[in-house]
Amino acid sequence: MSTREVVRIESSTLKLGVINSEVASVRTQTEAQTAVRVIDGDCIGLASAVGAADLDKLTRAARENLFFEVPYPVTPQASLSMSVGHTGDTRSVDELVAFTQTILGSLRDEFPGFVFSHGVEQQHLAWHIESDVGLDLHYSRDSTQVAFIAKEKGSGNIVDTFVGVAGAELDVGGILGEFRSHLDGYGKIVPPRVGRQKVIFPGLSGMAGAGLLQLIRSDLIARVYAQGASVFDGMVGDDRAHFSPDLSLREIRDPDDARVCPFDMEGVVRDALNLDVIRQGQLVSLAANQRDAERYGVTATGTAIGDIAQLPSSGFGHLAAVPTAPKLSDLLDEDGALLVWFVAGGDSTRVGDMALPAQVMLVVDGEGRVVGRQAGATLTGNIFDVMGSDFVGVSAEKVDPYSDDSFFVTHMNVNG
Amino acid sequence: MLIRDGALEDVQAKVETGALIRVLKDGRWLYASTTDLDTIDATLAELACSSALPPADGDSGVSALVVHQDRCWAFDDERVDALSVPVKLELLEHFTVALGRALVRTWSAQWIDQHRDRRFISSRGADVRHDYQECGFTLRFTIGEGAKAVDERFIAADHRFSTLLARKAALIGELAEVLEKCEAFAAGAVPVVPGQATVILSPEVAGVFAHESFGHKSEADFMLGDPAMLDEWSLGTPVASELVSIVDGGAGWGSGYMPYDDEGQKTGETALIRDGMLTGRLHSAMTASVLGEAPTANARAISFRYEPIVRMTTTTFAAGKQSRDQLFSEVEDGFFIETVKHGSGMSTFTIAPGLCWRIRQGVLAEPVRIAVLTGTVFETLGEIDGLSNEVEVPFLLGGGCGKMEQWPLSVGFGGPYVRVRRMSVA
Repeated sequence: MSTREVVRIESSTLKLGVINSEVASVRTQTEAQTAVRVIDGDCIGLASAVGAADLDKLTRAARENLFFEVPYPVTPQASLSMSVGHTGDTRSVDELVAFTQTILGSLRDEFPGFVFSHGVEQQHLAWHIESDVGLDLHYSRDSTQVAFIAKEKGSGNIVDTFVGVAGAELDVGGILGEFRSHLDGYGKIVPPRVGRQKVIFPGLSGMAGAGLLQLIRSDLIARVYAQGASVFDGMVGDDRAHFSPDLSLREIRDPDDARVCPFDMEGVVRDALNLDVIRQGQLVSLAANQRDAERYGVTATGTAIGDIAQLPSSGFGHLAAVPTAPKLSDLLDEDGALLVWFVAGGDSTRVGDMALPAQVMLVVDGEGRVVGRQAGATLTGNIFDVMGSDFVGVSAEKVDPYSDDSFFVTHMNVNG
Repeated sequence: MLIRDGALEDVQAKVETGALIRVLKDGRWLYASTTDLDTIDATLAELACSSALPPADGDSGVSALVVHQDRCWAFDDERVDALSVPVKLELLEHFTVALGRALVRTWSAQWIDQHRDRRFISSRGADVRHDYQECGFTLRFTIGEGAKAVDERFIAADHRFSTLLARKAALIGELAEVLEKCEAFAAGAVPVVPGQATVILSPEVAGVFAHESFGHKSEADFMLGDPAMLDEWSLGTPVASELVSIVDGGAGWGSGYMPYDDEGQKTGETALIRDGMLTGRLHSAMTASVLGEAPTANARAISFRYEPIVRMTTTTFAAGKQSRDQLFSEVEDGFFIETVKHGSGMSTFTIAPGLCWRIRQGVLAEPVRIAVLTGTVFETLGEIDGLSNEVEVPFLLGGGCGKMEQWPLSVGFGGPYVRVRRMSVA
């Protein structure tokens, strides 16, 4: 008895290219991807196509790929129907051009010392997983992203700083507020603070915070952990707080909490949509899809990710720390802190030592207002300290009016 | 194909067909990408009627584009997509045997091959077709336990399957050497005290540095609208130690091979730095026109989904005059950076190294764990005080360069062994 699953992703994108602070190009892109997975016994065959797809042909190809006996000892998800959508702005080309030109016009007037580039993108994305055993899952999302590289005229750098917002419904006033807050502060150079400093990461998924979670993402994968190759070896489920008892970290799949898809790439919908990864400092979950759970003898956690043209792998999607205070200012004192705006190319060693080269660091006052900028520097610290004794807290306040991300505050060493 | 810890996990093939259509109207480009080739004419008509953008003052550079009609079909004699999956799988499995060592905790072996056909057609009469092909594998493995574990990889790739087959015995030997080296590293690597140090970069790491630190700065689209930067970056300005020369070119074989760019222009070689002086930068038709410089055929897109933007092809440090042994012998105390996990270049560059070794009195000593190397690009280029006399350019499988939303682009980079007098290690 075999089961056929059909996975579809459809996207429709309108992108405005910005060069030299002007809208320079328009690109439209419509694309459909289809994958057929045939699960037969303990094996799986996969075939996929871009563009118009002939399902019969793909099914035949997927069946032919069963020849390779790729193991998949998993009972497919069945008899579940769900449809979730996060709607948002859907501007026409003319409307999006006008919207963008309004923003750029203000930026040119207010910040003549900068050249803005990159672009504005409006996208509709839809995922669909269905099967012949009654799985029927839909998710769609409309989003708009305004993302501009800001280069100071004559700086010699290819990028000086970057301001971007993304969300469902963007407005000119809110976007300009973000640019003003950032660029006004960026222009005021202040003496560098070095040594152990209080640092703020604007979210854990963006250009700054992602580096903090690098080891969480790589070393809590079931395969890595089960092979004894994890920096967290033996710590998951040992009922000990390896991090601060104030720190809890979750993989978010509740569409009411963030603009996320509630099912994973194996079509799993968790009973509790959000998954505790760190609970009050204790490591409690691995990233384990159904196949890896079976193979490595661990609990499946509904964490299948990946491109539809590949078999699902294990990994965490949207990770967020549980707030410990209402506002950013609640986590600061009169000395303020350093806001790590973006990091390029950080890395970690196997003992948990992290080095994050911060390209832009802003100085904020005790109220969380940006008051200046200090030169970029490498931040160092060990993950068990940064998320342990050095951890300060997480705000319920979001990093901008459109974001799902909170401010994460801790201490790190700033190497001048 | 993916084999993980001995089990075949994934086998798949994919065919993608699509077109990027662009129309120049009143000095601005309108683009549409589609996977339905039957709609090209209708899309062209639709774009031509669009009034979405106001007219532009500047020159698009299209008039300077050379109209070529050519066909560079290099790989029809041995199409990798025509080979059966079992043949490729057999070769991959041959190499996985070596991973059955006691200290290898977990591993994966991924086979990738691709054949790409590209065609550029323009209303001005251009019609250029060319192909690209690559095949090979990446072995990723974790050696050692917990805090001592080291993650490394071994890549073998080429344009042709037969070339890989011919190198099979040699590659097995190289793989065994790498595994032994990783075991030694896992057993004895010690952390470093953050600070400034003399480092020697292997050809692979030097290539990442050339690409990330300087190559991206040479892409002329970053200079638009900034006359002050153009003054500062005028050709002929000293930007590096006089030992340093860096070139970019797409015409040679390797992972950066591209005989024509995505505006139908024939690629050649551009000297970016010669003897420490800035001598060139990379252009599309538009950037060359705006900056009043010669086009260099560097307009590239990762696929039909995106518009061509200014990108590198194969970027390398030119060879120096010293032997590799001479370079090392002159270092009393420093580090050898042998492999790299990733690198990036912004206002400062960052390289995340893999295997690193202490150099004491001119010879390799104990392994060391370094999280990142960082520096200011021009200061570091000025600190280069030695390059070895042979250039190596690794074949990068699957592409590796990202810019804006376009990743991964097939590029090449490499160089000789490069010694930097002072660099930040952490």
